[in-house]
Amino acid sequence: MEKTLNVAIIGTGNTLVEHVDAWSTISDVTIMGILDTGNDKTPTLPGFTQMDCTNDLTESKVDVVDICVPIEKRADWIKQIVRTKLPIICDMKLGETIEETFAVMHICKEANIPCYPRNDFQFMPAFADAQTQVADGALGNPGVMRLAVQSIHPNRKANIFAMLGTELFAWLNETFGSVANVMTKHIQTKTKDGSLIEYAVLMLRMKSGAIVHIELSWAGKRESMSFELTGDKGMLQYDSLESTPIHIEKFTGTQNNVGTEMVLTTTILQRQLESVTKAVQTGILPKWPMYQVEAALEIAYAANESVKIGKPVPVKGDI
Amino acid sequence: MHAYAYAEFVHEHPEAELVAVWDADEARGSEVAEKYNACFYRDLDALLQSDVDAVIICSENAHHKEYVTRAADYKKHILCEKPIATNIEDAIQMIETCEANQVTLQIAYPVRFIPAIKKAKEMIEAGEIGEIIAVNATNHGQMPGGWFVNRELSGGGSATDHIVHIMDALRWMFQDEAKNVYAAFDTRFHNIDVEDCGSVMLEMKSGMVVTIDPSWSRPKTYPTWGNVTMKFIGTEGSLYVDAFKQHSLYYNDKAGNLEEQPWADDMNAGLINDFIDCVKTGRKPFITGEDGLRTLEVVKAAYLADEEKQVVTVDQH
Repeated sequence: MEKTLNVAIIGTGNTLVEHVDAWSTISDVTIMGILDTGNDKTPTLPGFTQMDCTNDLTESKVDVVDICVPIEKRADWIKQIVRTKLPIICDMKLGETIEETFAVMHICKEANIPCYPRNDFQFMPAFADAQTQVADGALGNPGVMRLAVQSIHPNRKANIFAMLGTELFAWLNETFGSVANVMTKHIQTKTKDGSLIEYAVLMLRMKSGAIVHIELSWAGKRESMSFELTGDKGMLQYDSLESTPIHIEKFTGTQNNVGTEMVLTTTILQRQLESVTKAVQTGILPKWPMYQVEAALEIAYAANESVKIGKPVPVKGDI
Repeated sequence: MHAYAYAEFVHEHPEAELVAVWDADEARGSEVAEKYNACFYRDLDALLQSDVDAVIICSENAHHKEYVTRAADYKKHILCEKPIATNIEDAIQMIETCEANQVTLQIAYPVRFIPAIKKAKEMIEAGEIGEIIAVNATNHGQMPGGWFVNRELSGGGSATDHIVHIMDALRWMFQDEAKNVYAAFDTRFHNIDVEDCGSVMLEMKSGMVVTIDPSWSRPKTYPTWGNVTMKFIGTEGSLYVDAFKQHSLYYNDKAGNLEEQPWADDMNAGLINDFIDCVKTGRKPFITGEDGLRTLEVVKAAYLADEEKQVVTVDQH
């Protein structure tokens, strides 16, 4: 029987509820308490110890702290929790800007505490499966990869490469190795009604020689992701917009045609937290240690620099 | 690649007739001539001396200049396959020779005649997605083999084969020219001496950002020859067009494969009909030699960018 993992959760609103629900499904886990940061209206969570401050974390027998606050608060909370010396679970997007993310990452490294960054692409079935297939040689010699992620603009100043790119870059590194250089174009503009739009395209050359085209888009009202991975032995394709199993057409009302999101028995979050639980319990590094965040950030940094100078930029580091 | 389709559509046209064929491969040429009850000429000059009004040139790219200039000297109107030539100087000479002889030089860019592309252009011009800030395009294919992979005859691989289709369509749609280009090419899929894949990133003079994937990256099991796709990002929306989406899928147990069976109006028919009308009416061609030159300039700049690993300015001649 595995040792019970004692977890504290810091967050607010529906995200906090989502994390509480996910942790509740994992065996050998005890939620020692939750700390509602109070930024969003949180539905009542009966039956859980409410913590008021970080002192409560050190006084209880917490093994790991799950920080699930909004991204604009994430850096501050991580800096606070680092002082408790407790291991941290957090979204891989540690900050809103590249500089902030680097700073938070260095704080974690200097504090020498285990940090378990969560990456959605690690556990999204299509991406996880593609990674396995590539490792198994499904593509043969990798040729040209096309990846795209679209989300709704956060409606505030934020770095598209840090916020939309980091997790995808980490998946790319894990799947195809290190990136040699990147050339980027980035456009920012507004719609007629003043809404912000941002769009970026990156051309990456991997150290293996494979060529990668990435589209990061904050231009649209829906979220989507896709890939086309090609090699000399085959091709893998996925498009989230064409993978919805259920479509519903309503005859009245404003939202007439609706497709479902991914229909999974266990959510992406549950899968991530189960993986971290196993890592903490067994002492084996999770698949996404902190160095992956650093490598992904180097790509984001190089992409940003490429936009500034209008030239291709080498990417530091090696996986 | 398209020669057989062109022959068929000339044959079908109510006001045109396929009367003559010349091919360096006599067996191949004779077969086509016989199919259409046309005359096969062993000697190209003999064909050009006949009373044909126009010729369609579908030879290896390296021979475009010779055949176009010879046909022009014989006062024949010309539809020439893309790319116009394998180098800028040849393209310029072709244009000048045709002008001097007052004959039509039209370059074969059938993508302009794809119904979905025309419709996308209309929708964009109507302002449905606002001002276009970026285009993410592909013209993928399977490795065609033959002279296409012989640099002496083709001038290059997939970059030469495919960039021009997208570039011409965008020039036509936006009346815009490429300002600079960055590109990476490689040979990663096939054991050939030319590039078979890559990625191109352009900035147009309007500021619009364009990326083009011209790779011969479709696997052997792909249900069709390739694709033409364009995603337009505008200030008020986005528009994605898959030019060959209008097809049925045939799960063919007899052949053991999956096939796309297109049912849209054929782009080659549109091109041929337009060329024939141009010859009959004497109007300026819809797709000119200069259009061919402009796209070739982008291809050459892209090759230079790949070689130098830097962004290169696209020069216009």
